[in-house]
Amino acid sequence: MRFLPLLLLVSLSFFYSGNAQAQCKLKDLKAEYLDKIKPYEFEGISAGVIFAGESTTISVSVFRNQKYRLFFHSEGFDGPVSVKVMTRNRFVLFTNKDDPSLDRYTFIPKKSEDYFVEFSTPSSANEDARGCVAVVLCSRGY
Amino acid sequence: MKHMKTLGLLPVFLVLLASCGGSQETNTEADAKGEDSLMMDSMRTQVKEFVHIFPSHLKVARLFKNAGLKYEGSYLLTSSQADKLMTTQDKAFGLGFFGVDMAYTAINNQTQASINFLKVSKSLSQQLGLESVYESNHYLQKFEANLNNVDTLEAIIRDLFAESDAFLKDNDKLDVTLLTFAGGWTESVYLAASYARSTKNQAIVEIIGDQLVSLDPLIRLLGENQKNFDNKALIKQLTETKKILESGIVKPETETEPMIFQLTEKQLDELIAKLKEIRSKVNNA
Repeated sequence: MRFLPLLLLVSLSFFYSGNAQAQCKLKDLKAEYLDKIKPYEFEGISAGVIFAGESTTISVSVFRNQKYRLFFHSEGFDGPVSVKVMTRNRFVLFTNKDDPSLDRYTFIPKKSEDYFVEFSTPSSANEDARGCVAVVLCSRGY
Repeated sequence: MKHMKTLGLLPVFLVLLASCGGSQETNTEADAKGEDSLMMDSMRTQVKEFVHIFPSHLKVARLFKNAGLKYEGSYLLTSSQADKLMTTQDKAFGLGFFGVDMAYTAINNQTQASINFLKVSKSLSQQLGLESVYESNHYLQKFEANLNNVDTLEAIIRDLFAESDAFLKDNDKLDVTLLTFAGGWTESVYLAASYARSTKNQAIVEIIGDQLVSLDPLIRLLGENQKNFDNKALIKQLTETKKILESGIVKPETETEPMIFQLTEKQLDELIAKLKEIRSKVNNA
């Protein structure tokens, strides 16, 4: 009986977080994108679990005059996830506002800087709903 | 946060329910509170696990090579220096240095040297718990089978870096990832600065200036991830490196134009001296 509460807690924890976590393993996401990104080459990835209705930002360093493509990944949400790519001064370089199916942004930066990818996820009737968002950075040529 | 609060009530309720049936555990509720707190901490960690995407060391090595950086073996570390790295922190840091030396030698057709650095990287990685990355992907065997094909070697190294990075982040070892990137950043800039000093190559100097872009997030994240390692000394050294680099900004960037960046011989000497100081952790280990 002593360990029952602990077992229940652990079970609950897995119940609520297991699915979203399983979807958000970088190793699996990388494997999933290796073909999708061609002819670009893989540079880096970041991902995490977020509650429905919340926002988060992933930043990325890019070098001037290099050809890059960012892929935006989201799963586990009830509706479309809005994505914005911005400079440090919040100048918007890309948004999928008009077409939520857009999942990539191709660009050649004029200067070396950090870009900020902002994900805003839709609310859900289920307050515990969570999903995974990720950014895959690739480049082409040198 | 309201989600967390709501979610947090369920376990407490279940714990109370379960404890009603118990006869002896007076500590159950207190234990449960502790466990509940642990669970909430774990959830908070999950929603905060987003990390900056740093440039790959291979990308940086290629940029420097295209700017004119030629192979100079005397700048490199020797593989035996890895044996002297004793702590996990030093091994993680050293892995970044040897990874960059591996990439640098590979893209310059120094394949035997590159294999040696790959073996060192493999050994350090195993000591850091990354043995499965090498075992499941057979990097060493693939590397040895493609010694005459630089493009394939590059692809192998790119994949190795990416797999190691993913493995570490998936296994909550962000602190190791950051130390490895810090080591790689230092070695990349050291190799380039040493070469630029002897050749006065301005194109290389400009790309050294571009490395400032990843230094800010690196210093910030090293500061935020010191649960297992004390990064204060490294942060101080990297901050001093940043100041030296910033002294080379002749004209700051604008919204649309890059900065103009130059380093005098004196500034390059200062930069190299600072990088040597950071590098001594591995070079003189």
